[in-house]
Amino acid sequence: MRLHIEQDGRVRQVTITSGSAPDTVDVHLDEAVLTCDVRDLGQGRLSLRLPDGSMHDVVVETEAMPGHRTVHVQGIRVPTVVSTRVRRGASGSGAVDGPLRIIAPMPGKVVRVAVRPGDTVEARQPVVVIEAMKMENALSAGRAGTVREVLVQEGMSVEAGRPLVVLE
Amino acid sequence: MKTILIANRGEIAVRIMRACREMGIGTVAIYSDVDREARHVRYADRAFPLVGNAPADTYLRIDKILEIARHAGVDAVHPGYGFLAENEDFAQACVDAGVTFIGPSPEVIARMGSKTAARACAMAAGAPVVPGTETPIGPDVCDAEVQRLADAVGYPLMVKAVAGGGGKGMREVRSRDTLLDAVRRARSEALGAFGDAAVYFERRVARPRHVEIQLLADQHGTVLPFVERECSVQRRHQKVIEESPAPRMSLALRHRMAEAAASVARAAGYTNAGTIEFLVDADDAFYFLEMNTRLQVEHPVTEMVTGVDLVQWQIRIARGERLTVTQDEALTPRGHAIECRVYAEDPDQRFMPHPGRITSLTVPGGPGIRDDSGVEVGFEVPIYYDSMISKLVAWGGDREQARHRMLRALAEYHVGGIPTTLPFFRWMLEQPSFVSGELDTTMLDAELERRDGQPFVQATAAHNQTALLATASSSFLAARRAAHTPATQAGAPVRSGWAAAARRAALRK
Repeated sequence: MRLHIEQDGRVRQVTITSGSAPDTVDVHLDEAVLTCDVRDLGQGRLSLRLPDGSMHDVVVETEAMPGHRTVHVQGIRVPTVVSTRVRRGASGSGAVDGPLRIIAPMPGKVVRVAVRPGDTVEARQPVVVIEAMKMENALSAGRAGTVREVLVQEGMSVEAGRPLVVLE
Repeated sequence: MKTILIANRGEIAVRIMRACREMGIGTVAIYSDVDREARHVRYADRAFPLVGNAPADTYLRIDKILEIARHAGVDAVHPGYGFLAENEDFAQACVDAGVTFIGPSPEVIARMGSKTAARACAMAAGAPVVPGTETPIGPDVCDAEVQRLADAVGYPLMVKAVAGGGGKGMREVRSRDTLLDAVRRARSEALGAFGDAAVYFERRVARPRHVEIQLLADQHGTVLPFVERECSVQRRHQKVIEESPAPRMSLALRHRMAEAAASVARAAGYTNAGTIEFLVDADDAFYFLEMNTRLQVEHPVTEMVTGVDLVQWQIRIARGERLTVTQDEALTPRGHAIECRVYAEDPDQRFMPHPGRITSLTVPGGPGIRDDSGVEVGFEVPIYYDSMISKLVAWGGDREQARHRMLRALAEYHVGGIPTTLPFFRWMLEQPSFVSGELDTTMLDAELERRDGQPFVQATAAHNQTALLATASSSFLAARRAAHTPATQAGAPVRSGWAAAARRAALRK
């Protein structure tokens, strides 16, 4: 099978076939073939033995967004995106043009909205404060910009993933 | 004592139930709606719902908890830490209901719960205290008087809530011009957190170490101080790593602090388990800070170096037994223990709490490792309560062995589904300041400020390559499974050859 895997800002084209030995897969990547011994331990857990003999217990988590994965490698969470076609705009060039939505990272209660539409904000300036788990958490603008929309009010309960403020 | 109700949740409720089970005592859990599937509830012999989720509707409801205690016919209540653990009204309500409260008397909780009353008690017992104001400064005290009191203490100073704890209602004031604003904020925070706006002032000790003495006191007059715990690794006044013994501690200082702690406990008429917290300055002078009239989060490090089960002793003391642990056993550490508090927080997002479902979990083990956890795979860490999910403790023959074991255990530990503070600890335990043991309570905040949000663990090219191969392999296996699984069996794929063989064998019978 042929896949496009986006990771660390790059899209890689990968072809995967069954290996000649049982429980192995051949991963064709950049002209090279990497034969991996892969054992499925269930619930997203894999035991990988790479061509150099190195052993890796990894966990591949499927995220809510289609194709999005979080791979745990030696305690590090590496996000990847899988697709069968090249997605447009997935160049990962790190472009920051266009609107930026500030999203609630967890469910909680909005205790303070520090900006109004039309305000200019600096990078790292707190814009909304959410209370969850007994703590007040200030959410900051990821970059400088102008507030286009404020989508919540103080006192509102919000779910994780809910857009709070749109910057442009 | 046949049955104990544990008026708490999470890891500490499990910890207490484990002690009960070892002692042949029955356990009763209480739970909020979202905690029905929590580990502490399923671990208990019996469990009763509190109905609701907010702490004020559930684990803080004295009336509901005592109603359950009566209904379940328990002999005693263990409050754990947090929630109602230091609430004298709860202790009194237990006494009134004829249920043993596993902790000190309501009078002692009230006396040591007020920071100013506790300071007075410590001074009367001859323990050194940080210079500061002697009486609470209520919300009605005028600005001019506030300034006069502060000038008398001197700058820099700390504004603290009289009813305080956990770093709330606490402000540092470096000079006179920021005083009134700091007092205003501390009062409002204290009112919100503890329902009491009174504050007091203490002189700021420069770069102090936080060293505390665990005590056990029975009902027959024996007060037993333990080897100290060092809790100087703090983020915003919250402990994140604790250890015992304190690095760079002289035997003479240990004995002086243990003696001071014991005399404060005696003066307070203290019984059961408690802890006296001290600040130690650069010249090894120490000052009484406060007393915690309960079991503490970090009690396992003391258990690891002394072999004494503090929770079992809390229960034994409550049922009137005499302490049989000797002063030598309590004060002479065997080896070294370190504890990391594992939180459901994203250290790379400025330690933002992150509730959610735990989708996979590998708990470390092996020599010298203890994991006091309140969660399991499938549990959804709720938004309503503290985000600590586990305490990982490592023991070693000396501090370096304990540190290396902790690093090894941190590498084994895997929590999937939510971010945790594990990457932060992997970083912290390698920092030169931690390795050297030259700790103070301001060190971590200063270091975090310097890092300015830089991630604790960054993926290398090798990590990325492994992640890429794992993603490719898992997609390939998933596609192959889908192709090879007949539709009729889709819901119940046979994973292992042994299971298939067993099934075939069963069909032949």
